[in-house]
Amino acid sequence: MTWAGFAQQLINGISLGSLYALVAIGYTMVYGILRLINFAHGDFLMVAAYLGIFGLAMFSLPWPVALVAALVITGLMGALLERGAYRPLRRAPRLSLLIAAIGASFLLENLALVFLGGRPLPFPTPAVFAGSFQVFGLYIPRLSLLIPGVTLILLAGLFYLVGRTRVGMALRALAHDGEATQLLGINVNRLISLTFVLGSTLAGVGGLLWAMKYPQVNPFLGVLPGLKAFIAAVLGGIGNLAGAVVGGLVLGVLEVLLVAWFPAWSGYRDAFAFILLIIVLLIRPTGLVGETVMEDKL
Amino acid sequence: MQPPLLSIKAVQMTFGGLMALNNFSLEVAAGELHGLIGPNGAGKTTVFNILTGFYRPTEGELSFAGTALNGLSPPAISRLGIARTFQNIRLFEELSVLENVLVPFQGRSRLSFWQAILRTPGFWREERWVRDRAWELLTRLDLAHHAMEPAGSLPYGQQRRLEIARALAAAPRLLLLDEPAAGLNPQETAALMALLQDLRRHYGLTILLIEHNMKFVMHICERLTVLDHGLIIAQGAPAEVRRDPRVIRAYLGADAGA
Repeated sequence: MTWAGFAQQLINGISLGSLYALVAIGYTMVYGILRLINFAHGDFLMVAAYLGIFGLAMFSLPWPVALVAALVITGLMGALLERGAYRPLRRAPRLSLLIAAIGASFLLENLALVFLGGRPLPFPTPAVFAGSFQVFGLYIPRLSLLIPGVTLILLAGLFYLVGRTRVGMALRALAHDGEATQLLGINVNRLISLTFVLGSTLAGVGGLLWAMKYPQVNPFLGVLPGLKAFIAAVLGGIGNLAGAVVGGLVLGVLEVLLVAWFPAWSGYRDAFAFILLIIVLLIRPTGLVGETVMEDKL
Repeated sequence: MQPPLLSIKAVQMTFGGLMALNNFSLEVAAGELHGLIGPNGAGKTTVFNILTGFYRPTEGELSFAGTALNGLSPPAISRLGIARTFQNIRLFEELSVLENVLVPFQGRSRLSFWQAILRTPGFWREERWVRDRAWELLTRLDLAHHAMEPAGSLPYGQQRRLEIARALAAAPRLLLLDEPAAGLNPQETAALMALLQDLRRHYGLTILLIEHNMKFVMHICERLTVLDHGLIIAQGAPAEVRRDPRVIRAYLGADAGA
Protein backbone atom coordinates (compact mmCIF):
# COMPACT_ATOMS: atom_id res chain seq x y z
CA MET A 1 0.00 0.00 0.00
CA THR A 2 1.24 3.48 -0.75
CA TRP A 3 1.71 6.05 2.00
CA ALA A 4 -1.16 8.07 0.58
CA GLY A 5 -3.34 5.00 0.65
CA PHE A 6 -2.29 4.25 4.19
CA ALA A 7 -3.07 7.80 5.29
CA GLN A 8 -6.43 7.54 3.59
CA GLN A 9 -7.26 4.34 5.44
CA LEU A 10 -5.98 5.76 8.69
CA ILE A 11 -8.37 8.69 8.36
CA ASN A 12 -11.22 6.33 7.65
CA GLY A 13 -10.24 4.20 10.63
CA ILE A 14 -10.05 7.16 12.98
CA SER A 15 -13.42 8.33 11.77
CA LEU A 16 -14.98 4.91 12.40
CA GLY A 17 -13.12 4.58 15.68
CA SER A 18 -14.42 7.95 16.86
CA LEU A 19 -17.97 6.69 16.41
CA TYR A 20 -17.16 3.57 18.40
CA ALA A 21 -15.60 5.76 21.09
CA LEU A 22 -18.69 7.97 21.37
CA VAL A 23 -20.89 4.95 21.90
CA ALA A 24 -18.39 3.09 24.10
CA ILE A 25 -18.42 5.99 26.59
CA GLY A 26 -22.05 5.22 27.44
CA TYR A 27 -21.32 1.55 28.07
CA THR A 28 -18.36 2.30 30.26
CA MET A 29 -20.05 5.06 32.32
CA VAL A 30 -23.10 2.96 33.09
CA TYR A 31 -20.91 -0.01 33.90
CA GLY A 32 -18.75 2.12 36.18
CA ILE A 33 -21.75 3.16 38.22
CA LEU A 34 -24.24 0.28 38.07
CA ARG A 35 -21.95 -2.62 37.03
CA LEU A 36 -24.45 -3.16 34.24
CA ILE A 37 -23.72 -3.83 30.58
CA ASN A 38 -26.56 -1.78 29.15
CA PHE A 39 -27.25 -3.87 26.07
CA ALA A 40 -29.99 -1.46 24.98
CA HIS A 41 -27.38 1.28 24.63
CA GLY A 42 -26.60 0.58 20.96
CA ASP A 43 -30.26 0.94 20.05
CA PHE A 44 -30.11 4.60 20.93
CA LEU A 45 -28.12 5.10 17.74
CA MET A 46 -31.19 3.88 15.88
CA VAL A 47 -33.52 6.03 18.01
CA ALA A 48 -31.53 9.18 17.26
CA ALA A 49 -31.26 8.33 13.57
CA TYR A 50 -35.05 7.95 13.20
CA LEU A 51 -35.65 11.10 15.25
CA GLY A 52 -33.24 12.85 12.88
CA ILE A 53 -35.27 11.65 9.89
CA PHE A 54 -38.49 12.90 11.51
CA GLY A 55 -37.03 16.32 12.21
CA LEU A 56 -35.31 16.76 8.88
CA ALA A 57 -37.66 15.07 6.42
CA MET A 58 -41.09 14.99 8.05
CA PHE A 59 -41.09 18.34 9.85
CA SER A 60 -38.54 19.98 7.55
CA LEU A 61 -36.87 21.68 10.52
CA PRO A 62 -33.62 23.56 9.98
CA TRP A 63 -30.85 20.99 10.48
CA PRO A 64 -29.41 22.43 13.73
CA VAL A 65 -32.87 22.38 15.32
CA ALA A 66 -33.67 18.92 14.01
CA LEU A 67 -30.39 17.41 15.19
CA VAL A 68 -30.43 19.06 18.61
CA ALA A 69 -34.06 18.03 19.15
CA ALA A 70 -33.19 14.46 18.19
CA LEU A 71 -30.34 14.45 20.72
CA VAL A 72 -32.39 15.94 23.54
CA ILE A 73 -35.14 13.37 23.05
CA THR A 74 -32.61 10.53 22.81
CA GLY A 75 -30.97 11.69 26.05
CA LEU A 76 -34.29 11.84 27.87
CA MET A 77 -35.25 8.42 26.56
CA GLY A 78 -32.04 7.05 28.01
CA ALA A 79 -32.96 8.45 31.42
CA LEU A 80 -36.49 7.13 31.01
CA LEU A 81 -35.18 3.64 30.27
CA GLU A 82 -33.20 3.68 33.50
CA ARG A 83 -36.16 5.00 35.44
CA GLY A 84 -38.61 2.49 34.07
CA ALA A 85 -36.56 -0.66 33.58
CA TYR A 86 -33.40 -0.51 35.68
CA ARG A 87 -34.22 1.49 38.79
CA PRO A 88 -36.91 -0.93 40.01
CA LEU A 89 -34.24 -3.65 39.80
CA ARG A 90 -31.54 -1.74 41.68
CA ARG A 91 -31.59 -4.24 44.55
CA ALA A 92 -32.27 -7.28 42.39
CA PRO A 93 -29.49 -9.68 41.38
CA ARG A 94 -27.18 -8.39 38.63
CA LEU A 95 -28.47 -10.99 36.23
CA SER A 96 -32.03 -9.58 36.39
CA LEU A 97 -30.67 -6.19 35.43
CA LEU A 98 -28.77 -7.66 32.50
CA ILE A 99 -31.83 -9.52 31.29
CA ALA A 100 -33.86 -6.31 31.58
CA ALA A 101 -31.27 -4.57 29.40
CA ILE A 102 -31.48 -7.26 26.73
CA GLY A 103 -35.28 -7.05 26.91
CA ALA A 104 -35.18 -3.27 26.54
CA SER A 105 -32.99 -3.68 23.48
CA PHE A 106 -35.45 -6.08 21.83
CA LEU A 107 -38.33 -3.81 22.81
CA LEU A 108 -36.80 -0.74 21.16
CA GLU A 109 -35.90 -2.63 18.00
CA ASN A 110 -39.32 -4.22 17.67
CA LEU A 111 -41.21 -1.03 18.45
CA ALA A 112 -39.31 0.57 15.59
CA LEU A 113 -40.05 -2.43 13.40
CA VAL A 114 -43.79 -2.30 14.14
CA PHE A 115 -44.27 1.44 13.86
CA LEU A 116 -41.67 2.41 11.29
CA GLY A 117 -41.39 -0.76 9.24
CA GLY A 118 -38.46 -2.92 8.29
CA ARG A 119 -37.72 -1.18 5.03
CA PRO A 120 -34.67 1.08 5.38
CA LEU A 121 -35.40 4.80 5.22
CA PRO A 122 -32.92 7.16 3.57
CA PHE A 123 -31.30 9.62 5.94
CA PRO A 124 -31.54 13.15 4.50
CA THR A 125 -27.99 14.27 5.32
CA PRO A 126 -27.90 18.08 5.41
CA ALA A 127 -25.76 19.47 2.61
CA VAL A 128 -23.18 20.98 5.00
CA PHE A 129 -22.18 17.49 6.10
CA ALA A 130 -22.01 15.98 2.64
CA GLY A 131 -19.35 16.20 -0.02
CA SER A 132 -15.62 15.82 0.23
CA PHE A 133 -12.38 17.57 -0.61
CA GLN A 134 -8.90 16.74 -1.72
CA VAL A 135 -5.68 17.44 0.18
CA PHE A 136 -2.26 16.22 -1.02
CA GLY A 137 -3.99 13.94 -3.45
CA LEU A 138 -6.03 12.41 -0.65
CA TYR A 139 -9.72 12.14 -1.10
CA ILE A 140 -11.29 13.10 2.22
CA PRO A 141 -15.05 13.05 2.79
CA ARG A 142 -16.11 16.01 4.88
CA LEU A 143 -17.64 13.59 7.38
CA SER A 144 -14.28 11.94 7.97
CA LEU A 145 -13.04 15.17 9.52
CA LEU A 146 -16.35 16.13 11.06
CA ILE A 147 -16.76 12.88 12.98
CA PRO A 148 -13.41 12.98 14.79
CA GLY A 149 -13.81 16.74 15.28
CA VAL A 150 -17.22 16.44 16.92
CA THR A 151 -16.00 13.49 18.96
CA LEU A 152 -12.97 15.42 20.15
CA ILE A 153 -15.06 18.39 21.29
CA LEU A 154 -17.64 16.22 23.07
CA LEU A 155 -14.99 14.12 24.78
CA ALA A 156 -13.14 17.24 25.93
CA GLY A 157 -16.38 18.47 27.45
CA LEU A 158 -17.09 15.13 29.07
CA PHE A 159 -13.60 14.79 30.52
CA TYR A 160 -13.87 18.32 31.89
CA LEU A 161 -17.22 17.50 33.45
CA VAL A 162 -16.06 14.25 35.02
CA GLY A 163 -12.56 15.34 35.92
CA ARG A 164 -12.92 18.93 37.03
CA THR A 165 -16.43 19.72 38.19
CA ARG A 166 -18.09 18.82 41.46
CA VAL A 167 -20.78 16.82 39.67
CA GLY A 168 -17.96 14.83 38.09
CA MET A 169 -16.36 14.24 41.47
CA ALA A 170 -19.68 12.98 42.77
CA LEU A 171 -19.94 10.66 39.74
CA ARG A 172 -16.49 9.25 40.40
CA ALA A 173 -17.30 8.89 44.10
CA LEU A 174 -20.47 7.03 43.16
CA ALA A 175 -18.56 4.68 40.87
CA HIS A 176 -16.14 3.92 43.70
CA ASP A 177 -18.56 3.45 46.61
CA GLY A 178 -22.26 4.09 46.15
CA GLU A 179 -23.17 3.54 49.80
CA ALA A 180 -20.60 5.96 51.15
CA THR A 181 -21.66 8.51 48.53
CA GLN A 182 -25.30 8.27 49.64
CA LEU A 183 -24.31 8.65 53.26
CA LEU A 184 -22.67 11.95 52.37
CA GLY A 185 -26.00 13.40 51.29
CA ILE A 186 -25.64 12.89 47.54
CA ASN A 187 -28.82 12.19 45.60
CA VAL A 188 -27.60 9.09 43.82
CA ASN A 189 -30.69 8.68 41.65
CA ARG A 190 -30.16 12.07 40.09
CA LEU A 191 -26.54 11.21 39.29
CA ILE A 192 -27.59 7.93 37.72
CA SER A 193 -30.17 9.74 35.58
CA LEU A 194 -27.48 12.19 34.52
CA THR A 195 -25.21 9.29 33.54
CA PHE A 196 -27.90 7.86 31.30
CA VAL A 197 -28.67 11.25 29.75
CA LEU A 198 -25.00 11.78 28.97
CA GLY A 199 -24.45 8.26 27.68
CA SER A 200 -27.49 8.14 25.44
CA THR A 201 -26.93 11.67 24.12
CA LEU A 202 -23.42 10.67 23.05
CA ALA A 203 -24.84 7.50 21.52
CA GLY A 204 -27.36 9.77 19.78
CA VAL A 205 -24.56 11.86 18.31
CA GLY A 206 -22.97 8.60 17.19
CA GLY A 207 -26.27 7.53 15.65
CA LEU A 208 -26.76 10.75 13.70
CA LEU A 209 -23.20 10.69 12.40
CA TRP A 210 -23.52 6.98 11.61
CA ALA A 211 -26.70 7.69 9.63
CA MET A 212 -24.88 10.38 7.65
CA LYS A 213 -22.00 8.00 6.97
CA TYR A 214 -24.24 5.07 6.02
CA PRO A 215 -27.52 6.84 5.13
CA GLN A 216 -29.84 3.82 5.35
CA VAL A 217 -31.79 3.72 8.60
CA ASN A 218 -33.47 0.51 9.76
CA PRO A 219 -34.66 -0.73 13.16
CA PHE A 220 -31.50 -2.79 13.67
CA LEU A 221 -29.09 -0.03 12.75
CA GLY A 222 -27.73 0.16 16.29
CA VAL A 223 -27.04 -3.52 16.83
CA LEU A 224 -23.67 -3.94 15.18
CA PRO A 225 -22.15 -0.54 16.06
CA GLY A 226 -23.47 -1.08 19.58
CA LEU A 227 -21.73 -4.44 19.88
CA LYS A 228 -18.53 -3.03 18.38
CA ALA A 229 -18.62 -0.15 20.85
CA PHE A 230 -19.12 -2.65 23.66
CA ILE A 231 -16.06 -4.51 22.39
CA ALA A 232 -14.20 -1.19 22.30
CA ALA A 233 -15.17 -0.51 25.91
CA VAL A 234 -13.95 -3.95 27.00
CA LEU A 235 -10.80 -3.57 24.91
CA GLY A 236 -9.99 -0.28 26.64
CA GLY A 237 -10.96 -1.54 30.08
CA ILE A 238 -14.63 -1.32 30.97
CA GLY A 239 -15.42 1.32 33.55
CA ASN A 240 -12.57 3.48 32.32
CA LEU A 241 -13.45 6.60 30.29
CA ALA A 242 -10.07 7.07 28.61
CA GLY A 243 -10.03 3.35 27.93
CA ALA A 244 -13.31 3.57 26.01
CA VAL A 245 -11.82 6.22 23.73
CA VAL A 246 -8.58 4.31 23.20
CA GLY A 247 -10.48 1.07 22.64
CA GLY A 248 -12.80 2.71 20.11
CA LEU A 249 -9.96 4.20 18.09
CA VAL A 250 -7.89 1.00 18.16
CA LEU A 251 -10.84 -1.11 17.07
CA GLY A 252 -11.86 1.32 14.31
CA VAL A 253 -8.37 1.64 12.85
CA LEU A 254 -7.63 -2.11 13.06
CA GLU A 255 -10.91 -2.94 11.40
CA VAL A 256 -10.38 -0.55 8.51
CA LEU A 257 -6.74 -1.55 8.01
CA LEU A 258 -7.61 -5.23 8.07
CA VAL A 259 -10.06 -4.72 5.24
CA ALA A 260 -7.61 -2.51 3.36
CA TRP A 261 -4.67 -4.94 3.65
CA PHE A 262 -6.60 -8.14 3.17
CA PRO A 263 -9.50 -7.22 0.89
CA ALA A 264 -10.37 -10.89 0.57
CA TRP A 265 -11.16 -10.97 4.28
CA SER A 266 -13.45 -7.98 4.23
CA GLY A 267 -16.44 -10.24 4.83
CA TYR A 268 -14.89 -11.19 8.17
CA ARG A 269 -14.53 -7.65 9.50
CA ASP A 270 -17.25 -8.14 12.11
CA ALA A 271 -15.96 -11.57 13.05
CA PHE A 272 -12.58 -9.95 13.55
CA ALA A 273 -14.02 -7.61 16.18
CA PHE A 274 -15.53 -10.50 18.10
CA ILE A 275 -12.33 -12.53 17.90
CA LEU A 276 -10.55 -9.52 19.32
CA LEU A 277 -13.09 -9.44 22.17
CA ILE A 278 -12.44 -13.10 22.95
CA ILE A 279 -8.68 -12.58 22.88
CA VAL A 280 -8.92 -9.57 25.20
CA LEU A 281 -11.13 -11.44 27.64
CA LEU A 282 -8.70 -14.38 27.63
CA ILE A 283 -5.43 -12.50 27.82
CA ARG A 284 -6.13 -9.16 29.43
CA PRO A 285 -9.67 -8.95 30.79
CA THR A 286 -8.93 -5.61 32.44
CA GLY A 287 -8.37 -4.07 28.99
CA LEU A 288 -5.61 -1.85 27.66
CA VAL A 289 -6.03 0.95 30.19
CA GLY A 290 -7.67 -0.84 33.11
CA GLU A 291 -5.58 -1.75 36.12
CA THR A 292 -7.88 -3.15 38.75
CA VAL A 293 -10.14 -6.11 38.28
CA MET A 294 -13.55 -5.49 39.76
CA GLU A 295 -14.74 -9.06 39.75
CA ASP A 296 -16.11 -8.69 43.26
CA LYS A 297 -18.72 -6.30 41.99
CA LEU A 298 -19.82 -8.32 38.96
CA MET B 1 -34.29 21.01 80.25
CA GLN B 2 -33.54 20.95 76.53
CA PRO B 3 -34.82 17.99 74.57
CA PRO B 4 -32.00 15.67 73.47
CA LEU B 5 -30.55 16.19 69.99
CA LEU B 6 -30.78 12.50 69.26
CA SER B 7 -33.35 10.18 70.73
CA ILE B 8 -33.62 6.47 70.02
CA LYS B 9 -36.57 4.72 71.62
CA ALA B 10 -36.98 0.98 72.06
CA VAL B 11 -35.38 0.04 68.78
CA GLN B 12 -35.38 -3.57 67.76
CA MET B 13 -33.45 -4.91 64.79
CA THR B 14 -33.58 -8.48 63.64
CA PHE B 15 -31.81 -10.06 60.68
CA GLY B 16 -33.68 -13.22 59.83
CA GLY B 17 -33.93 -14.86 63.22
CA LEU B 18 -30.97 -13.04 64.66
CA MET B 19 -31.67 -10.26 67.14
CA ALA B 20 -28.99 -7.62 66.54
CA LEU B 21 -30.52 -4.98 68.79
CA ASN B 22 -33.11 -5.51 71.48
CA ASN B 23 -35.04 -2.68 73.11
CA PHE B 24 -32.24 -0.22 72.42
CA SER B 25 -32.82 3.29 73.75
CA LEU B 26 -30.38 6.15 73.79
CA GLU B 27 -30.55 9.89 74.22
CA VAL B 28 -27.68 12.13 73.30
CA ALA B 29 -27.78 15.77 74.36
CA ALA B 30 -26.58 18.53 72.07
CA GLY B 31 -22.84 19.00 72.50
CA GLU B 32 -22.36 15.69 74.27
CA LEU B 33 -19.57 13.25 73.46
CA HIS B 34 -21.11 9.84 73.92
CA GLY B 35 -19.33 6.51 73.67
CA LEU B 36 -20.88 3.27 72.49
CA ILE B 37 -18.84 0.32 73.65
CA GLY B 38 -19.15 -3.41 73.95
CA PRO B 39 -17.54 -6.63 72.76
CA ASN B 40 -17.34 -7.45 69.07
CA GLY B 41 -20.68 -8.31 67.55
CA ALA B 42 -22.60 -6.49 70.27
CA GLY B 43 -24.55 -4.48 67.69
CA LYS B 44 -22.72 -1.16 67.86
CA THR B 45 -22.29 -0.65 64.12
CA THR B 46 -25.91 -1.71 63.64
CA VAL B 47 -26.88 1.37 65.66
CA PHE B 48 -24.94 3.55 63.18
CA ASN B 49 -26.49 1.79 60.20
CA ILE B 50 -29.96 2.41 61.59
CA LEU B 51 -29.22 6.03 62.41
CA THR B 52 -27.99 6.77 58.89
CA GLY B 53 -31.03 5.16 57.27
CA PHE B 54 -29.06 2.26 55.93
CA TYR B 55 -31.09 -0.28 57.88
CA ARG B 56 -34.76 0.08 58.71
CA PRO B 57 -35.33 -0.93 62.33
CA THR B 58 -37.85 -3.70 62.87
CA GLU B 59 -39.40 -1.67 65.67
CA GLY B 60 -38.78 1.56 67.56
CA GLU B 61 -38.56 5.27 66.99
CA LEU B 62 -35.69 7.51 66.05
CA SER B 63 -35.72 11.26 66.17
CA PHE B 64 -33.08 13.86 65.53
CA ALA B 65 -33.52 17.53 66.43
CA GLY B 66 -37.26 17.00 66.57
CA THR B 67 -37.52 15.22 63.20
CA ALA B 68 -38.49 11.57 62.96
CA LEU B 69 -35.81 9.60 61.11
CA ASN B 70 -37.85 6.46 60.53
CA GLY B 71 -38.22 5.78 56.81
CA LEU B 72 -35.91 8.58 55.63
CA SER B 73 -33.32 7.76 52.95
CA PRO B 74 -29.59 7.98 53.75
CA PRO B 75 -29.09 11.19 51.73
CA ALA B 76 -32.08 12.83 53.43
CA ILE B 77 -30.71 11.93 56.86
CA SER B 78 -27.31 13.22 55.88
CA ARG B 79 -28.85 16.53 54.88
CA LEU B 80 -30.58 16.75 58.26
CA GLY B 81 -27.12 16.79 59.81
CA ILE B 82 -25.88 13.30 60.61
CA ALA B 83 -22.58 12.12 59.15
CA ARG B 84 -20.45 9.09 59.84
CA THR B 85 -17.07 7.49 59.35
CA PHE B 86 -16.47 3.79 58.83
CA GLN B 87 -14.70 1.15 60.85
CA ASN B 88 -12.87 -0.06 57.74
CA ILE B 89 -11.93 3.20 56.05
CA ARG B 90 -14.05 3.85 52.97
CA LEU B 91 -12.49 6.80 51.22
CA PHE B 92 -12.85 7.46 47.51
CA GLU B 93 -9.33 6.19 46.94
CA GLU B 94 -8.73 7.37 43.39
CA LEU B 95 -10.06 10.84 44.11
CA SER B 96 -7.65 13.39 45.49
CA VAL B 97 -7.73 14.35 49.16
CA LEU B 98 -9.33 17.68 48.23
CA GLU B 99 -11.92 16.01 45.99
CA ASN B 100 -12.91 13.63 48.78
CA VAL B 101 -13.79 16.64 50.90
CA LEU B 102 -15.54 18.41 48.01
CA VAL B 103 -17.95 15.54 47.25
CA PRO B 104 -20.30 16.07 50.24
CA PHE B 105 -20.75 19.72 49.29
CA GLN B 106 -22.46 18.51 46.11
CA GLY B 107 -25.24 17.06 48.24
CA ARG B 108 -25.73 20.42 49.92
CA SER B 109 -25.62 22.50 46.75
CA ARG B 110 -28.48 24.93 46.35
CA LEU B 111 -27.83 25.53 42.68
CA SER B 112 -30.41 24.78 40.06
CA PHE B 113 -29.55 22.73 37.01
CA TRP B 114 -29.47 25.84 34.81
CA GLN B 115 -27.32 27.83 37.20
CA ALA B 116 -24.76 25.04 37.06
CA ILE B 117 -24.94 24.65 33.27
CA LEU B 118 -24.85 28.37 32.52
CA ARG B 119 -22.18 29.06 35.15
CA THR B 120 -24.03 32.05 36.56
CA PRO B 121 -22.37 34.38 39.10
CA GLY B 122 -24.25 32.42 41.76
CA PHE B 123 -22.50 29.29 40.56
CA TRP B 124 -19.05 30.85 40.92
CA ARG B 125 -19.96 32.29 44.32
CA GLU B 126 -20.93 28.86 45.57
CA GLU B 127 -17.89 27.30 43.93
CA ARG B 128 -15.56 29.73 45.73
CA TRP B 129 -17.37 29.28 49.04
CA VAL B 130 -17.20 25.50 48.75
CA ARG B 131 -13.50 25.49 47.90
CA ASP B 132 -12.74 27.85 50.79
CA ARG B 133 -14.65 25.60 53.21
CA ALA B 134 -12.89 22.50 51.86
CA TRP B 135 -9.43 24.05 52.30
CA GLU B 136 -10.40 25.23 55.76
CA LEU B 137 -11.32 21.67 56.73
CA LEU B 138 -8.12 20.27 55.28
CA THR B 139 -6.08 22.86 57.13
CA ARG B 140 -7.85 22.20 60.41
CA LEU B 141 -7.25 18.47 60.05
CA ASP B 142 -3.66 19.04 58.96
CA LEU B 143 -4.13 17.52 55.51
CA ALA B 144 -3.76 20.63 53.34
CA HIS B 145 -0.24 19.77 52.13
CA HIS B 146 -1.55 16.44 50.75
CA ALA B 147 -4.58 18.00 49.06
CA MET B 148 -3.70 16.93 45.51
CA GLU B 149 -2.59 13.38 46.30
CA PRO B 150 -4.91 10.44 45.73
CA ALA B 151 -6.64 9.62 49.01
CA GLY B 152 -5.58 5.97 48.71
CA SER B 153 -1.90 6.92 48.86
CA LEU B 154 -2.11 8.54 52.31
CA PRO B 155 -0.70 6.72 55.31
CA TYR B 156 -3.29 5.04 57.51
CA GLY B 157 -3.51 7.66 60.25
CA GLN B 158 -4.09 10.43 57.73
CA GLN B 159 -6.75 8.39 55.95
CA ARG B 160 -8.59 8.20 59.27
CA ARG B 161 -8.37 11.98 59.59
CA LEU B 162 -9.50 12.47 56.00
CA GLU B 163 -12.59 10.38 56.69
CA ILE B 164 -13.42 12.74 59.53
CA ALA B 165 -12.80 15.75 57.27
CA ARG B 166 -15.06 14.27 54.59
CA ALA B 167 -17.82 13.63 57.13
CA LEU B 168 -17.49 17.20 58.42
CA ALA B 169 -17.87 18.51 54.87
CA ALA B 170 -21.46 17.28 55.01
CA ALA B 171 -22.00 19.88 57.77
CA PRO B 172 -23.23 17.48 60.45
CA ARG B 173 -24.55 18.45 63.86
CA LEU B 174 -24.13 14.85 64.95
CA LEU B 175 -20.95 13.05 63.97
CA LEU B 176 -20.86 9.25 64.21
CA LEU B 177 -17.34 7.87 64.48
CA ASP B 178 -16.86 4.13 64.06
CA GLU B 179 -13.65 3.16 65.86
CA PRO B 180 -11.74 6.35 65.09
CA ALA B 181 -8.71 5.23 67.13
CA ALA B 182 -8.45 1.74 65.64
CA GLY B 183 -4.95 1.06 64.39
CA LEU B 184 -3.52 4.34 65.68
CA ASN B 185 -0.37 4.39 67.81
CA PRO B 186 -0.46 6.07 71.27
CA GLN B 187 0.81 9.42 69.95
CA GLU B 188 -1.74 9.43 67.15
CA THR B 189 -4.46 8.48 69.61
CA ALA B 190 -3.54 11.39 71.88
CA ALA B 191 -3.56 13.72 68.87
CA LEU B 192 -6.99 12.39 67.85
CA MET B 193 -8.38 13.18 71.31
CA ALA B 194 -7.14 16.75 71.05
CA LEU B 195 -8.49 17.01 67.52
CA LEU B 196 -11.96 15.80 68.49
CA GLN B 197 -12.13 18.29 71.35
CA ASP B 198 -11.08 21.06 68.98
CA LEU B 199 -13.63 20.08 66.33
CA ARG B 200 -16.37 19.86 68.92
CA ARG B 201 -15.70 23.34 70.17
CA HIS B 202 -15.26 24.86 66.76
CA TYR B 203 -18.20 23.27 64.95
CA GLY B 204 -20.51 22.83 67.95
CA LEU B 205 -20.58 19.11 67.24
CA THR B 206 -22.32 16.35 69.08
CA ILE B 207 -20.34 13.12 68.78
CA LEU B 208 -21.38 9.51 69.16
CA LEU B 209 -18.45 7.16 68.83
CA ILE B 210 -17.79 3.44 68.86
CA GLU B 211 -14.42 2.48 70.23
CA HIS B 212 -12.55 -0.45 71.69
CA ASN B 213 -9.64 1.52 73.09
CA MET B 214 -10.79 1.85 76.71
CA LYS B 215 -8.21 4.44 77.67
CA PHE B 216 -9.43 6.63 74.83
CA VAL B 217 -13.09 6.12 75.69
CA MET B 218 -12.68 6.69 79.42
CA HIS B 219 -10.66 9.80 78.79
CA ILE B 220 -12.80 11.53 76.18
CA CYS B 221 -16.42 10.43 76.56
CA GLU B 222 -18.83 12.13 78.91
CA ARG B 223 -21.30 9.29 78.92
CA LEU B 224 -21.13 5.70 77.82
CA THR B 225 -23.58 3.10 76.64
CA VAL B 226 -22.43 -0.49 76.90
CA LEU B 227 -23.92 -3.06 74.56
CA ASP B 228 -23.63 -6.82 74.79
CA HIS B 229 -25.41 -9.16 72.41
CA GLY B 230 -27.78 -6.43 71.31
CA LEU B 231 -28.77 -5.46 74.85
CA ILE B 232 -27.80 -2.37 76.80
CA ILE B 233 -26.09 -3.60 79.97
CA ALA B 234 -24.99 -0.25 81.35
CA GLN B 235 -25.37 3.44 80.65
CA GLY B 236 -23.81 6.38 82.47
CA ALA B 237 -20.62 8.28 83.22
CA PRO B 238 -17.36 6.43 82.42
CA ALA B 239 -16.37 6.12 86.09
CA GLU B 240 -19.65 4.39 87.00
CA VAL B 241 -19.73 2.18 83.94
CA ARG B 242 -16.21 0.96 84.53
CA ARG B 243 -17.17 -0.36 88.00
CA ASP B 244 -20.37 -2.02 86.81
CA PRO B 245 -20.07 -5.78 87.42
CA ARG B 246 -22.07 -6.63 84.31
CA VAL B 247 -19.68 -4.62 82.16
CA ILE B 248 -16.67 -6.26 83.74
CA ARG B 249 -18.22 -9.67 83.16
CA ALA B 250 -19.07 -8.93 79.52
CA TYR B 251 -15.53 -7.83 78.81
CA LEU B 252 -13.82 -10.57 80.78
CA GLY B 253 -16.13 -13.08 79.16
CA ALA B 254 -15.21 -11.77 75.73
CA ASP B 255 -11.53 -11.95 76.63
CA ALA B 256 -11.82 -15.46 78.00
CA GLY B 257 -13.55 -16.55 74.79
CA ALA B 258 -10.92 -14.97 72.54
